Amino acid sequence: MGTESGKVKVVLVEDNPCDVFLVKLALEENGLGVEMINYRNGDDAIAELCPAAGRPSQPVPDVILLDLNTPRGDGFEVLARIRSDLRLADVPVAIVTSSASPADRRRAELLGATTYIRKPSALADFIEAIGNGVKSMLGLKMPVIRTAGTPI
Amino acid sequence: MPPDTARSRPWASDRDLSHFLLRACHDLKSAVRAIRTSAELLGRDAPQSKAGTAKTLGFITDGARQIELLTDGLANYSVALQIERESFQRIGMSVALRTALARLDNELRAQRAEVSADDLPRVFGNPDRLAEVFGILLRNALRHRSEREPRIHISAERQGADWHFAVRDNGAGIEPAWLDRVFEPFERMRGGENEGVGLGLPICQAIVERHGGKLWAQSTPGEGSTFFFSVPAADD
Repeated sequence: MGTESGKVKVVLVEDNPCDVFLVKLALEENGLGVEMINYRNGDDAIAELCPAAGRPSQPVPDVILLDLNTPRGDGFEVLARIRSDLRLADVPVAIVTSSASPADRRRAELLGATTYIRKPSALADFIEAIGNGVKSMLGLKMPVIRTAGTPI
Repeated sequence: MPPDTARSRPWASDRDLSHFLLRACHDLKSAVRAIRTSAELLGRDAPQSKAGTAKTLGFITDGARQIELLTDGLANYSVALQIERESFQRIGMSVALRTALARLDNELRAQRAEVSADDLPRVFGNPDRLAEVFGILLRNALRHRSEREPRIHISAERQGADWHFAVRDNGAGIEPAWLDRVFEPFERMRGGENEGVGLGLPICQAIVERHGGKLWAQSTPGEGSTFFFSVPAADD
């Protein structure tokens, strides 16, 4: 696990600059020494994570965080691609979204998301939700879990 | 020329309206999160700033929180609009009630509220949405309590092919002039922080009506209120 530097590698597919900042802050404040790579749209993420034959590939990430509403390839398309790629099929993937739609949650589960986190709007809740989600996917011990976001 | 009465419908169906609202809520929530977390970060990282700054940041955070409550209410209303009979199953209403009670556990304890229920029957419906109906009615009962510790009782009575459920509280009650108005969207009886945005009863109504039922209330000011809703029975 981890890159040559020994740091945990997190891929974030998210186009909202504030949410990118908040995820990075949440990882830092949870004491997770990570190397975070951000893709602003689904196509770029797929091109680098699941490159065409003959093209160089990125190291397999330890955790992937996907927003659902990214342009040019939404979270569902990226998730489906990841799960069909043998190299990435077992990488934990969290959907991280503002969506309140139960249909989105069901679809994410069907496509093989590891967990589904609804983004809280309060700073402390956001830091806790992302921290708990990533730690659980990395298999790290963590304190008692509060529900991430609002129950559907 | 089309007659005056033939207006074009902007939405082909409730489902279209629901998708539209959910998408709008999603985008609003993203923007509100940026506002609220940024204000909270400013407040957190500059604790030595003037008292006036803290107060102003507080107004920003409160405003953002209010928008978020509103968008959550709109999103829940949209989800209610999506109810379809394909999602219906036999559901024991005791299970739905227990789900709602679990979600309200902290508030129930904080207010030393006691909730009792008769044996509740099985109905035919959407389990999550029916749990939401109980949740909203219970939360309203807690919000509109009197000085007495809240005592809430849930019962059911068979009427033809339906069950009529009653959620009875010992709260402040509702003035007769308000009894119909409380079902209107955005109507709030009192101001104050814990009031909510006034969408709870419209959401209940949308859920119950999509189950083929009705929602209504009786109340005695100073003694308490009873909210009733009907749902088709699931006969074994």
